[in-house]
Amino acid sequence: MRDVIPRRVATLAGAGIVLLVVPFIGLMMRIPWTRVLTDVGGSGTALRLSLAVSVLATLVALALGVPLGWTLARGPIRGKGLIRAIVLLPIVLPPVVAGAALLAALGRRGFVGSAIDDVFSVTFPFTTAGAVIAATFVALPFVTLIAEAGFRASDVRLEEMAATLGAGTWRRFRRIALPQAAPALAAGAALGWARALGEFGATITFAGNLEGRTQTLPLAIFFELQRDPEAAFSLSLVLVAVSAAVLTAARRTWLR
Amino acid sequence: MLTCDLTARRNGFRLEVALDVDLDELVAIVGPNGAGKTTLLRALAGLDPISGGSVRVGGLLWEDVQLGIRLPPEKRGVGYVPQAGLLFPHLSVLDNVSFGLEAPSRSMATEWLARLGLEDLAHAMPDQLSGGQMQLVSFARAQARQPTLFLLDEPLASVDAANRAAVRRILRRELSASPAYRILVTHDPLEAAAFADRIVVLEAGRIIQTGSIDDLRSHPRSNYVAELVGVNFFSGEADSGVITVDSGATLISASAPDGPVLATVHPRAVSLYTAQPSGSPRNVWFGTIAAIEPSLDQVRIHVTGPIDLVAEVTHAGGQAFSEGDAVWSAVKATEVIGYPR
Repeated sequence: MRDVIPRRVATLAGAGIVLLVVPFIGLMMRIPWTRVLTDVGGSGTALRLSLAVSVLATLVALALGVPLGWTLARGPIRGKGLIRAIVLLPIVLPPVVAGAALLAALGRRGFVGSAIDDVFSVTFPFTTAGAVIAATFVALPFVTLIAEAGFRASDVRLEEMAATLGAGTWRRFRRIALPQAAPALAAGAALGWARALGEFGATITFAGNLEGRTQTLPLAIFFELQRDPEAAFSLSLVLVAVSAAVLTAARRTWLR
Repeated sequence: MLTCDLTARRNGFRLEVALDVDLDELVAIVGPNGAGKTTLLRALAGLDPISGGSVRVGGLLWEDVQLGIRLPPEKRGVGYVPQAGLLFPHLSVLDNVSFGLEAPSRSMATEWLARLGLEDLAHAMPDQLSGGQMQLVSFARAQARQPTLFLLDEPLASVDAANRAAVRRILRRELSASPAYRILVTHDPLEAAAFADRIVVLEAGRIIQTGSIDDLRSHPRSNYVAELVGVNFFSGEADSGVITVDSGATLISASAPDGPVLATVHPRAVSLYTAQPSGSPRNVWFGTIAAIEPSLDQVRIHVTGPIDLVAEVTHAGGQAFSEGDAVWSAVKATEVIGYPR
C-alpha cells in the first residue's frame, strides 16, 4: 500500500514549515537592497570581529572537542554518560545563563577569574578573549558530539592494523583515526562555527557590548534594530547567507 | 621456536591452546566457524590480552600473565594479514606499504611492491583494487616490516575464484622464502593442503588434532576432520576385528586393534547395489538414499541405514539411483581402516 499523509498531519506539518519560512520572507521584504553593501561596509568592524572571534572559537573548540569526542568514542573509561551530559549542557542551557555562569567563574571576582587576574593581570569581561570564550563554550558541544559520532563510525580494525604495523597510540590517532573521521570533523567544525558566529546571549552577558572589542555581528544587529532597522536587516542578510553556506557544506557529510 | 600455551577469553568464549611452531614449517590452523581461530591470531598479535599462560617467540617473552609481561602489538613485529585486507582507505597503495617502515622509505616500499608484481598500482587508492590485489598489498604491507611472525587470517577468502590460484601462488612463494614464523588460518582444507607443512585442527577452542594433510586424511580424530578430508568416520569398540559403533551396528575391519577405536571408510570404497550383493564383501547393509549431491567430477550419495555412509560414484554410475531408493551398501573389510581412539 502506498503511504498517504492523513489530512490533519499534512495541515500541521505544513504549518510547521510555514512558521520556519515566513520570517525569512519577511526579512527579504524589508531588506533595503539598494544600500545593503553600504550598510554591511559601515559595520565592517563588527563583521571582522565576528569572523575573528568565531574562527578562533572554532579552532579552540576543535582542539578541545576532537580529543574529547575520541575519548567518548574509544576511551576505556567509566562515566561516559555523565561526560556526555556535561558536553550537552551548553546546547540546552539558555545562553544568557551560560554568560552569567562564565561571569561568575571567570569574571574579575570569579574564583578562576580573580586567580588569573592575580597571576597574569588578565581579565576576560569586556575583552575580545572573553567573547572568544563565550563563543567556544557554545560551539564545543557541536564539535565534540559530531567528532564522537565520526570516531564511532570509523573502523577500529584499521587502528589495530596500524598497531601491528608498529604505530603507537598517538600515531594511530593521528594517521588513522583522525583522517577516517575527517568528514565528520569538518561537519562538526562547520556547525560549531555557525553556532559561534551567531552567539549572542552568553557574549553580551559575559563580554559586554564594546564596539571593536566584543560587539560581534549579532550584537550589532540587535542594537542597530533600535536605531536603524533597515541597516539591521542588511546585516542579518550576511548571517543568513553564512548559515545557508554552512548548511550546504554540511549537507554532504552530516544531513543525509 | 614459537611457543604459546595460552588461555584467551572473548565474549564468553574460552580458547585453550598449546602450540609450538618451528621456523622451517608453515602451520595452518583449520577449524569450523567460531572455533577460535581468529581469537588465537589476535592473541598472538597482541590485539587482545591473554587471560592465562604465555607466548614466547624466538627466545623473547612476548606475554606472560603470571609475570605480568605484555608486549603491546606495535612492539611485537608481527605481520598480520587480515581476512578483508584492511588497507588504509585514505592512503595510496605505496603509502599503505610504507606505513610500517621506520624512516618513511618509499623506495623500499616500491621494492616490496615490485616483488609481488604490484609496482604499477603504487599510486592507486585501495578502493580501485580488486579483492586479490588488496590482499597482495595487505601482504606486502606486512612483509615490508620483515616481521618475526606472519599471521594470515583466511588470506584467500575475499579473492574471487578466477584470481585465487595466482594469489595463492604468489603468497606460497613469498611465505616459503620468508625467514619468519608462519601461521595461517583457514577453513578450506585445499588451502591448508596447498600452504601448510602441518595442520592444526581447532574445534570449540581446543586443538583436536595436529599433523600433515595425509595424517588427517588417514587418521581423522573428529567428525569435523573426517568431513574436512571427505571420509566416512566411525567411533566404537573393537573386538577381534568387529567394531561396534554407538548405535549398536557393527563393522568388520581387517585392521582394527581391540579396544576403543576410530575407523574410516573412503567414500570410493563404498559400493551400492539395487539388489542384495553376493560375493566377498564382509560388510553389507540395507538402507535408503537420503540425498544425492553431484559435484564436478563425481556424485556423492548419502545412504541412511544401520550405518550411515557416503558413497562416491561416477556421474554415469550415479544415474542408476535416485533419492528415496532402497539400496544395499557394501564395504570390504580391508577398506574399514581402524586405529586406536
